[in-house]
Amino acid sequence: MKTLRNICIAFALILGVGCTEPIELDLNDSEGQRLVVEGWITNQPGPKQIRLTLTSDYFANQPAPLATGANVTISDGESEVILEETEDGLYEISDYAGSPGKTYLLSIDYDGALYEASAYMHPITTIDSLSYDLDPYGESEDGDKYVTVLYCQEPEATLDHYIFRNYKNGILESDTLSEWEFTNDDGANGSYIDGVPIGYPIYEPGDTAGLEIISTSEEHYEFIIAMFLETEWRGSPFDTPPANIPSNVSNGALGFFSASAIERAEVVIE
Amino acid sequence: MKLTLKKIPILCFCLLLLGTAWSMAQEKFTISGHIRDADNGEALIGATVYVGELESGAVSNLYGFYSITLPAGDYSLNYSYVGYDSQAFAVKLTKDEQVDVELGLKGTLLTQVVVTAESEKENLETVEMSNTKMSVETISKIPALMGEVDIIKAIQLLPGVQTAGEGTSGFYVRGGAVDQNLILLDEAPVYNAAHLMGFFSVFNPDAVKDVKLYKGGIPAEYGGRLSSVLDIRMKEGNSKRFAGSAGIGTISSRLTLEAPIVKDKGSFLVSGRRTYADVFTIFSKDSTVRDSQLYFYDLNLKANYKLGEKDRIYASGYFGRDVFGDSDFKISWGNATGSVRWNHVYNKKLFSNFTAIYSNFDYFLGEPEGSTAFEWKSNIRDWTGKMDFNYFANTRNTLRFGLISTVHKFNPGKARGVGDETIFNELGTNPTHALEHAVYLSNETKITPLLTAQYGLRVTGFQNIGPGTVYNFDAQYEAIDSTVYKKGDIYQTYGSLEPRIGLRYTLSDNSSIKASYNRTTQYLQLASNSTSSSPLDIWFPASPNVKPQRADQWAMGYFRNFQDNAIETSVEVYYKNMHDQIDFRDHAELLLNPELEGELRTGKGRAYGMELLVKKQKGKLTGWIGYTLSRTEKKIETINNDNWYPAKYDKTHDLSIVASYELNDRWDFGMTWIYGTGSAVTMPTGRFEYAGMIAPVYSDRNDRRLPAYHRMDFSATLHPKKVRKISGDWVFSIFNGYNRKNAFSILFSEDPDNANVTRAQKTYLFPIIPSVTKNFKF
Repeated sequence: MKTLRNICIAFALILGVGCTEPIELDLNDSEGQRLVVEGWITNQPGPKQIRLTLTSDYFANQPAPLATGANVTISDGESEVILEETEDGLYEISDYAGSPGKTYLLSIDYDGALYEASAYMHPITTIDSLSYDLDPYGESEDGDKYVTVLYCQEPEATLDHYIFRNYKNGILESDTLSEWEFTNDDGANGSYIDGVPIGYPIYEPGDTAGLEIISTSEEHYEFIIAMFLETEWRGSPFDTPPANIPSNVSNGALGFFSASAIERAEVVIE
Repeated sequence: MKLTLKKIPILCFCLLLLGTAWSMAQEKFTISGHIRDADNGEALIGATVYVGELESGAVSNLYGFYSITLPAGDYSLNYSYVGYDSQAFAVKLTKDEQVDVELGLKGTLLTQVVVTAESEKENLETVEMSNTKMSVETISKIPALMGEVDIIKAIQLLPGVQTAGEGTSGFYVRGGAVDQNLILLDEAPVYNAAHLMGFFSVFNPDAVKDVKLYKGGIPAEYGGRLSSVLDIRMKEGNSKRFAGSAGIGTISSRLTLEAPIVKDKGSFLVSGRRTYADVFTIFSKDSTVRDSQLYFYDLNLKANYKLGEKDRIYASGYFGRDVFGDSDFKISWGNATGSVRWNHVYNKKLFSNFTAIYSNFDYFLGEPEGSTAFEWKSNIRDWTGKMDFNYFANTRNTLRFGLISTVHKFNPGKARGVGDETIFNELGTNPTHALEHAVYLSNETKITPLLTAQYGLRVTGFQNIGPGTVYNFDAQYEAIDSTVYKKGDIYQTYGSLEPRIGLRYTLSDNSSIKASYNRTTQYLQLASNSTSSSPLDIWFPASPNVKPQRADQWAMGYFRNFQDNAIETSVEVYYKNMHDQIDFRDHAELLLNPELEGELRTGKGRAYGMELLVKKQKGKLTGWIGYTLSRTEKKIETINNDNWYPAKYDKTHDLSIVASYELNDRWDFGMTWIYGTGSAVTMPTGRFEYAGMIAPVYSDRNDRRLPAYHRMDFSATLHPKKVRKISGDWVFSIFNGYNRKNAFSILFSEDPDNANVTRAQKTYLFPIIPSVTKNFKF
């Protein structure tokens, strides 16, 4: 689809038409602030955080207002843990690892209202091996960067959704949602993934390249797609009509609470 | 009397019998024949035969045939057609007569010329309303984008017809969606009329003779779409002599050749057009640009032959395609249509036409090599058989009846990996099949000299036929299981009765009022989510999960001519109720989705409005002013919290001014000015942050507007002296004369250079664009 979009833009450019310029608009927005939840439970040990913010005017042009003073708990159906507010709007538990097959329930008591969300942790396939290849699509500027190449079995029995994140020398490169890659198993269900370049071509010889494959739910996958449809993918001839991004948090809150199992592998570029 | 649906057919027959009974009283004879162009032998559609003694007449049909039955006696007949010299004959009617008439363009023939006003009042006298006929000559006087004369862009300048944005060749008629227009080219449906993302339409004006748009009061012989019929007829080809035309334009070139097969018995036409943006790319230094393919072409073919006095056959074909791509990626789409017709005159009163039609729209995209190599194909194909009869019963009654059957094959899209390295399996939807049938009967009857009625009934049926797979959905639109049907299994049948009624009452010599009601049913639709014309059209049929769409339209109009019919004016109001309308859930996935029907949401729509038209057809200054005041709304389950919302193409005000001025023999000038309320859009009312991204929060769907759209275009045509019978016109045009930056869309996004900043940017497509075209005619 990306290529198709480029072709359309290229055609418009060849015709010498199509320009973009800023426009002043009065959006007349006074919706009132709504709670925004950002939370993720994984099967990896370490701290887990729930970030609570509020919506703002579209042209507010400053960081989102923080939602402080909430009571936040997570339950796996057997036991419940309380998250402490370590910074304004950031609720944390120092070490918490989930496990695939369990459902997690998030509960937030904020400003006199109760917000709830639940997330099921799907299992993840194992990586057989990770290799690398010279940027096959010429996406990097000088074309001499390397990209990770994945070998694994896609499970046939389940409907799977994947997120991919890149590490470079042990540091997470894909640290915002916009740098994640994601797919479902449509069209590749049950296939052996026999050396497919995945991730961004960001590696040079000597780097340790890392790739995470992450399970997620269909609901979360659709949320991610909607996030992209409403932001980065806007502006093509194939735009869907603008529509609110769904949420799995109750009581009119926005954002998402998800649970994922993560599988990671590393390879040294030579 | 309460008029229920069941009673309508009975009523029709009663009225017909009544009409026939009147005519039994006296011995009568029939004058019939064809009316053609004297210069090239083309049949003239809608030419008038006026009988002075009766103050009444007949109109030639789509093949130029007319028939008029009169009591024995002496009559003066006047044959006329807009833009042509009239011809008058005195007839002593004592037996059936065949009178074939050839009319010449104004001022070209030195035969007996009688100037009469009657034919120029056609707008007052015909019972039809809410329709417009446009000649290609008129259309070619309208300034065009890059000089490409465009039939659909011309249609968009009429009141009641709206666009959804600049540069789209989709059009919206009285609140109907793009897929609710039936576009016919020589009776074959054209499923995608757009070239190049809709910047141009697929109809090569050099090959077209006649264009007629029905916005309402749709006659019973047309059906299958809710909102409108755009009936385009190709030229037949010159049956008198070899002739041709050619054009060299800014982006394309055209060539049309036509000649008799046997003089006055048959002729053919070949017309082609191709763009040449890619001719310039081969000079590029950049290899990716150099390897790119970038063109569209159209090829129109037609031949006809007169087998005898009573029979004529026609064969027409259209082939058009767009191709874009480079060495890594290719996309291509196009239409192919063909029709073979046989006109047969059974007797002086009964005219018939048998038609076989094929239509195909397909697209392809693919990546030929590598681990992500794939190909993606989709198409829709129709095979149709059709019979139409015109029975010219007497001066008061003209009957039309016929039947039509179509086999549809839908292949909404299938992608599969290609080559050895590919990781892709097959993805997409299996083909489905359907049958669509209709029978119709209508009569046009002069109830009194002042009151004319056209009434008819179309009975339609639709059947899904196996092989096919139908998914069954639960209340949450999730597929729970599927049912597989064997080849030949009919697994769903729908039917509909579609009454069509029109009335005209003459108020005075220069004014009349008209009213119409029609019901229409539509059994196939386009899954389209985006604003612009995309070639990735997915047509899908009614099915066990998708009910056919229905619409009821009421319209009334007042028509008045001024200054000896030089100025025609009309005001029409309409109200349309639309049932089982379709939209898609938020963030729907339409492409390659086998469970597409689960993405659908259904509801209703309503549209109402008023259209004003002032048209000047005579004199040095000609043109029209059209204004539409309208509203179109939808209410679809789950969308916009189940509340009514404006359709994206809802336009409160829409104004077009089209003028052309003939300065002298050498220079013509053209001008258009368009003003329209901005498209209805959804804009953010707030924003939120998630994982480092800033996302919008919206309020109600389509509750905001883009800035108003307006634009002025100019053209000037120079007609130099003919050199060796070749005329060579120069057409200079300027699109968007005052360089208005009309918003095509407004994009809300994060500013990549400034953290936390969100911004609004408008995209506009066409700045001021001058162009030159050279046209030849021989």
